[in-house]
Amino acid sequence: MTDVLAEPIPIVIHELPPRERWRPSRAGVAARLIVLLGIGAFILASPHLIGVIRVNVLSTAATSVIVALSLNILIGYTGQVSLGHSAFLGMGAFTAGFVITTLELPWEAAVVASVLVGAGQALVIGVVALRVRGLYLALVTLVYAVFAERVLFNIEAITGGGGGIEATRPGWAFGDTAYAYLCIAAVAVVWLFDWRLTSSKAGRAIEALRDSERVAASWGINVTGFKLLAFVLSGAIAGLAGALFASVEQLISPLDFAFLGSVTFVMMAIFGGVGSRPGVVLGALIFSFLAFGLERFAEAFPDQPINASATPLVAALLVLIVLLYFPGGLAQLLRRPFRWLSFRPWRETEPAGGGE
Amino acid sequence: MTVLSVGDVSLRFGGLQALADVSLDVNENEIVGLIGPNGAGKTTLFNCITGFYTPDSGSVTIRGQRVNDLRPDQRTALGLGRTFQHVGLVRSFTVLENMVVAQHRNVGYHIGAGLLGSPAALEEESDLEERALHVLDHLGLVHLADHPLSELNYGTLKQVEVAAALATDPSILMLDEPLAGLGPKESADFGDRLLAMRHELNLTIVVIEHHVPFVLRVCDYVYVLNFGRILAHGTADEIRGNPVVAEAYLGEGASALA
Amino acid sequence: MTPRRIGAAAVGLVLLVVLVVSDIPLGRVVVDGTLNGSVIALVALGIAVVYKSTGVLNFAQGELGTLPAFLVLLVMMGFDLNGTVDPEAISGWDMLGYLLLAVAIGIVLGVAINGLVIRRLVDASPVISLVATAAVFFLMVGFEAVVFLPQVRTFPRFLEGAPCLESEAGECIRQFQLFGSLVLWHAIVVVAVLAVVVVLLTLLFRTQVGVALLAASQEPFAASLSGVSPRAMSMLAWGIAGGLGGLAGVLGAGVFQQLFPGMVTRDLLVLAFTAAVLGGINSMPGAVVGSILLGVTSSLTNEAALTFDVTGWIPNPPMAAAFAVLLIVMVVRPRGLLGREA
Repeated sequence: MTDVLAEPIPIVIHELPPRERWRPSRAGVAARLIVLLGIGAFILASPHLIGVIRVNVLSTAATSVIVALSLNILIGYTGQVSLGHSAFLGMGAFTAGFVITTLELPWEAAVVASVLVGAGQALVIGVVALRVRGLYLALVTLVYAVFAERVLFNIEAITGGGGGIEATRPGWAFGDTAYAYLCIAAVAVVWLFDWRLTSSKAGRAIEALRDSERVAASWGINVTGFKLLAFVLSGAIAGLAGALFASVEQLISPLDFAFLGSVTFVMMAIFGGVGSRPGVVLGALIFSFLAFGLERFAEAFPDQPINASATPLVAALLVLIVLLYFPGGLAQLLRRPFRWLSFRPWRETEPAGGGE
Repeated sequence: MTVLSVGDVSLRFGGLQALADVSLDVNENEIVGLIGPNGAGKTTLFNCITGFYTPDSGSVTIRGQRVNDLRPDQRTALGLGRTFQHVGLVRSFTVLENMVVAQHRNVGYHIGAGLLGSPAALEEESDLEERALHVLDHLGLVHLADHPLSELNYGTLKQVEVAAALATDPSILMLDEPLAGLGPKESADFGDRLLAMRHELNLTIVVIEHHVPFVLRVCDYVYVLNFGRILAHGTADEIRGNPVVAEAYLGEGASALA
Repeated sequence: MTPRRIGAAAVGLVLLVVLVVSDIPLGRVVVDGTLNGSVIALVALGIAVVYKSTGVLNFAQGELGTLPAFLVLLVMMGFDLNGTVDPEAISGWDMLGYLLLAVAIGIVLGVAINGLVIRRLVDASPVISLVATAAVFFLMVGFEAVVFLPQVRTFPRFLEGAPCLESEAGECIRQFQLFGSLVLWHAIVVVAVLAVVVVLLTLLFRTQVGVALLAASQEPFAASLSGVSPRAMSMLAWGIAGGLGGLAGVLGAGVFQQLFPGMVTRDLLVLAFTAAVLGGINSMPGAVVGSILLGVTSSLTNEAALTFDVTGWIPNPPMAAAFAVLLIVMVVRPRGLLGREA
């Protein structure tokens, strides 16, 4: 392959006109920084705000956020959907349990193994299901999720069967609060990874093929290859989430990975607004704290019938309302604040030079 | 030298014979026109050449290499760029972002380097933008770089699409109705640009267009398709004087050509 | 192609020899499998008709069965939520009435889901529609759990209260032997209902409306030009899917003799999706053939697991077989047995 930059399009008729890009004023920058720092401080303080007794709720929520971000890479960027992420989470978790408890290797090795297993299973399923146009990936992963729940995770030699398997935390993050910080840090890492993905070659290719596979192919993008890459990255990140999930309670059982969990994960992502990192994270957080919130609600108002058992109903209602009125999810509802926070103007259109 | 050759390509869709034994040859640096009424099989032929359809029989050859078994993206890698009948762009991207993705095959850095944000990758990213702006400038579109596609009209979108196809750095450029949505003045300008570009960028161009005067002005050679068959082919002058073409396709417009 | 076919034939032959030589009761496998497959087929047909005519993967198809079954049960219990049903007291004709009631409820539900949710998402991506049906699924299960409580209730079978066939010894017989399999009258009814459904759908798809229904998704524009309203077609498809759901709910609950919130989804929906892919997701006959094949595969793996004594270390062999079959189909023939190239 020739280096194209050595031979650019030869003629430059005239100097390119300067591109005027919108920049916030100094006060605007300060205001945005203050809000962002506030959000950052709130996140860092959250393990202490929620209290040490309930801090595991936060760690679990962080794993859900990571799963939702991993689904975002698939749904948001390729338009394909996986209904198998409960199984991916479970595979990651049981791999971690197996490595830590059965093989007696350190926690860090378990994380690496979980990520590799996550990527590997996505590769196998993706090679089979992504060659075909349409929503076959959704169907194959759905069946995989049920297969994993009812067959794989019940094989006693690997997963300890119904009794489950232990997954001890690493020594350097053994306390509940320390582990919550570890999970939050993992969310940050995945966020950064996703950001790099979308701002480099691979992510752009993947986003292009979501819009139109034909156009992407006409630009030399290997459509099946990049769909597969997106699914493998999604699987690897879900595997990471699984390893983290395993050590939240330090004991996992097949019951933690019922196939309907997959559907809930997809609903989180769609509710938040696929294609938007902050939207997806917010969606996953709202879903994760729904049961927690309803529980507190029931404690505060004991005389009414709503409690944590209503979580799926409330979640489904939320999703339907958002889909019918804001098909782009929370990200559409909150597009202005999200825009503003990314150092762009509050209003829709940027005043760029020229116009039609 | 023949850079693109189609040999006896046939394709059926159910009961419809979309293409029947179509053959054509395109020489280096030529501009070849493909005309014919709606449904004649022009776009279908484009899709067979670029790999979106697999012909039932016949061969497609690019620079002597038979490409029948290659995917569309692999054919793009051989220097085959194209536009679509309806606007083929990524709707959620801005003009500039489209131009950057279109350079996909020429991005040198490894996917992993991009994910890790290596300095070389970041530097190449800014070079990609620079190059995109130059290509846009070439088509007089540079002032639209930061616009989302939703703000542009149809004719402008078709022009941006041509720019994106150029950004893939093709040696053979296949344009499907590039004048759609353009006025007479803009159409003439586009014709001038096309004629200039083929030398400056060393391009071979195949163009589907309904606007017959444009085709006869710009093209060195013209193929006329009707009902999936080549009805006639020849230089612009030969086509202009061909009574069969005038009768079957140009119809009442024939007098305007004479 | 040819070496692959020879390979497939060789593998098939080896399997056949193993089956014949082994102690697996093949007659029973086929009979049981067909009966199980018939219930799956009712769900799979519902999935296929909606997918083919509207392009929507309907995750709520299972609950289009469970919910009508629950409502029919409510009627059986005399609108007493704490009541019970005496299966013996329900005659075959009563049961037929309940079945038709379930079909009616299913149709109403299907049309309602179409009108309230699906029609409004007509421009959305297939993923959004799929998620919307999943949300509808959660709503329906939630409703079932709130009204009927998350508990397992007894559900009557067809002809359970039917008059006995007196055997020579004077025993009451409500089932008979076929190739070593004990066949319930209820199962015969399931197969008969499926046969009626297949005949009715075949007739429907010969009419102009039926042809339009099949064309609506592939060529919505052309279909609308020929005077067919995509709205009406979507409603018709969801109505049919709802009716099929009602059948699957009552007959399926009868097979398991029980009913609990989310049951049809849990026990049949995933198998039905597998069967639909197996037969070809855009093929109605494929849905039936795929279901029966999957039913036979399930009972075969069950018997094989018992015969070769592997139940200890492979939990749930039928589910493992279903996943394996799905993978094989996706590799060898992704459009399914009877499906057409997309």
